[in-house]
Amino acid sequence: MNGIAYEKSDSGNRGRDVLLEVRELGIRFGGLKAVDNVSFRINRGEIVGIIGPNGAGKSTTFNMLAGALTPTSGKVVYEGREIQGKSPWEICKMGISRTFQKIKVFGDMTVLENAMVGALLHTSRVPAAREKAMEVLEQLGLHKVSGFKAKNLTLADRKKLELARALCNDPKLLLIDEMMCGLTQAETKDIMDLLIRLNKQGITMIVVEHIMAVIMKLSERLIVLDHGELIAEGTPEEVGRNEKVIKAYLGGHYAAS
Amino acid sequence: MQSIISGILIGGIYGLVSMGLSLIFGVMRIVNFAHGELVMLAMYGTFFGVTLLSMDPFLTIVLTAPLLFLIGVAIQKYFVQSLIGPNDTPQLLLTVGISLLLQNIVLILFTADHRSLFTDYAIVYYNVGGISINKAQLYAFIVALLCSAAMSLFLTRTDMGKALRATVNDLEMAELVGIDTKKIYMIAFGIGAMLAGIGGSALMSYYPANPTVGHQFLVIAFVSVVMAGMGNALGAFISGMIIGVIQQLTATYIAVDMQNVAIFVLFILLLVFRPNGIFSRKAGARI
Amino acid sequence: MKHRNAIFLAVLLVLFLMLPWFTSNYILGVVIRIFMFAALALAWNIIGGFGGQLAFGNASFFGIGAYAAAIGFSTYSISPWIGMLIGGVLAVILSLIIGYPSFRLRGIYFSLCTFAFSLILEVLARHYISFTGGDMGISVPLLGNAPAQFQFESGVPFYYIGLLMVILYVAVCRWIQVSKFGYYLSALRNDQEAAEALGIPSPRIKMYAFMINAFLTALVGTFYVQYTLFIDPQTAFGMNMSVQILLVAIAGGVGHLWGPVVGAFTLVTLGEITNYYLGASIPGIDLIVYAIFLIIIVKALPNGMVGLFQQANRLFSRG
Repeated sequence: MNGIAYEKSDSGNRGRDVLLEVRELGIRFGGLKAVDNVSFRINRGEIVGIIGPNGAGKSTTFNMLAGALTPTSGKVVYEGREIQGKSPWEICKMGISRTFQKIKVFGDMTVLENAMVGALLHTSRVPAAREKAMEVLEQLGLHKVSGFKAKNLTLADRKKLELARALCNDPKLLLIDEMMCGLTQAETKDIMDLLIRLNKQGITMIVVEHIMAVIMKLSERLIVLDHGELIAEGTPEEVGRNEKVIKAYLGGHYAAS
Repeated sequence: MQSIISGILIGGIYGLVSMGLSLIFGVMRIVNFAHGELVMLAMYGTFFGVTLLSMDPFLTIVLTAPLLFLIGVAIQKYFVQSLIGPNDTPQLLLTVGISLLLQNIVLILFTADHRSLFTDYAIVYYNVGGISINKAQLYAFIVALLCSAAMSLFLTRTDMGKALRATVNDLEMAELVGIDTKKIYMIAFGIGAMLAGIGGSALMSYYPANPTVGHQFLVIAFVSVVMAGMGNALGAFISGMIIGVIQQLTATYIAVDMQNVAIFVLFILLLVFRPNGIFSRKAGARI
Repeated sequence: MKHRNAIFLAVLLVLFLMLPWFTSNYILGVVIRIFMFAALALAWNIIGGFGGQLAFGNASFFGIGAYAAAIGFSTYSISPWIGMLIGGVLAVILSLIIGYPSFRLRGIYFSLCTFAFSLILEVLARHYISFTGGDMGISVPLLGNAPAQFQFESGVPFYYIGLLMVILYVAVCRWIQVSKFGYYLSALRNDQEAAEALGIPSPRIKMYAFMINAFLTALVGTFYVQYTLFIDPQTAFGMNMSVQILLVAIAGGVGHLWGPVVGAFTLVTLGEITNYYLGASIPGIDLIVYAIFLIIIVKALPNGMVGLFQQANRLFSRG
């Protein structure tokens, strides 16, 4: 079991409860290995960020966790059960919800209905789902637009809606895929505060993000990918000083700090 | 053996018609439900060319080919163009509407009577090594073969042909490179219709025409296109011949009226297992 | 339901209940046809409208329903009422067979796959002559008035059965719309990937919708054969039937509850009027009108007639 990059910084695993474990995960498309031998652990209650330059394999790894892709090697173990290759809906039922980088709200349905679809995961009664949906929408400040069709919302509100919808699933683990792109500073801060608040309420999070300022502030721990491999892991400070990481981002020329 | 030869001969026509559909489908992702009707129109064109103008059925192609080309361009320009977009439903429905329209206009103008040409071609048979070959079928096949060869050359050697293939492969790239996609669409539809038309005209020499004759060609053309993989025009021609053979073999060894069932079943199997065609190596799900 | 709408519907219902008393048999016949196509389109709407999967081979189920009743009665002396249920069950089984390969495909390939099955059935129906009467079809023996055998002397009972059928189908659609199943279908239609990530098992949900559609469509098939007392492969499984069902649903407005009903009324009436004035001199003109109508709808009215009404409503309530 490859442990080099992994053991370098074990700061995240001081006897905490492991929620998700990724073991030697890999996937190849045709002849290309998009992700190779990636291993890490996520503890209950953490916010962990996955970063890396373009094409590093972040989204691919993300999609393998969410069930949208089936890995060709390795395992994903959630609460002790192997979930790699399971369908997205099975994974959702187990307590893992996700958002999409390209916002996928149900455009022709109202905001409330969107959230209700999420809430219907754990109940068959539509009125109960409606109640829960309304609660979550209020929490996120979307109750005022609950009657509007989702496609008519602003970008920021649509992103919040996607978040709300996923929250209605009552997830234990939330996977956030590049949520901040296209938002203003204020909107970004808004969502960041929201995510921190939700995390404090007990939801474990894995966040894939491109915007450095956001991910550094948001994450307790970072996982860095490059060319499909895990090259570093640790707290934001540790990772920020890591030579390999700097090299990956600056491409060979790196400024000595 | 007889069946195989017959199959190849008629398969040539299927192949030509399928080539036309392949072009339309490949370039524009349009499911041209009216494709069979284009064949039908050409058949009637040839019928009247022979009966009213005393032309040789194969010579009528000189008339029907450009006519069908123009019809194709017109359909594309006035009906289809505005509907091109991510959703392929409106186009499908539109071509269904056009198909209905053409069928019934012809029905009204020319009645449902089957129209046949009684020419020398249809009656003469050659005997080659114990196999009987109908003159009309043979000539029609030769026409189809020549046309598809010409088409192949066109697609690979000429600028326009290359532009067409580029658009099939990657629309955005083609636009970036400066290809006028609207014009390409019109030409693609026009040529697609023209090929269907030539097939129809050639077919008329031995097959009766009626307003609904187009249906069978529609399905066969689709099966060929799927079998060959999207945009593979030459492959569509070959697939057409394969289907012709399958059809004739089924007719001979199972039952004449079941001849199309094998094709339909093949269609379903292809859609499920090889939606990218039998000539490609991918076996992925078609989205 | 809003108060105003409820009253409107109640009034309509009363009018329809009383219709047989003050119209001719001809009009009654037209309305029966409207009911049939409305029911067919309502069934289709469940998979096509709510579910967003444009199934193009519903004639398969219609034909099964028709032949089950016809063969059941003429060959096995089973009452068509039972035959109707048998047809329904067979249709559901068939939908599983058709759905399994078809639902793996998206968009146009799905439509073509379902279509291919209806073509196969048509050929099979033509071929197995001893069973289905082949191209000559089956003429159900006329019994006159025999309610137990689903035959009536006059059109009036058929009218009421048809009316009941439409009301029931609308009720089923409404019930689906407000249920968890309906929400899931709608989510699938909007964005399948997102729906799946929210826990919706897309293959299963699509299949349920397809099965319901199959069952309901088959019942109309039985109704048809009992009303016209004749069925043949082309009418049962032919492309025309599939196209007409699609046409009615789209003309009315795909995905809207009342779309199919509005569509049926519009198209059948349009066809009848056309035939009345021009039918004698130009046979088949009604089909041309349908074709033109379809083209207009596709180009100008993507939301069908219901969409048109909604737009008009908005215009008027603003001005």
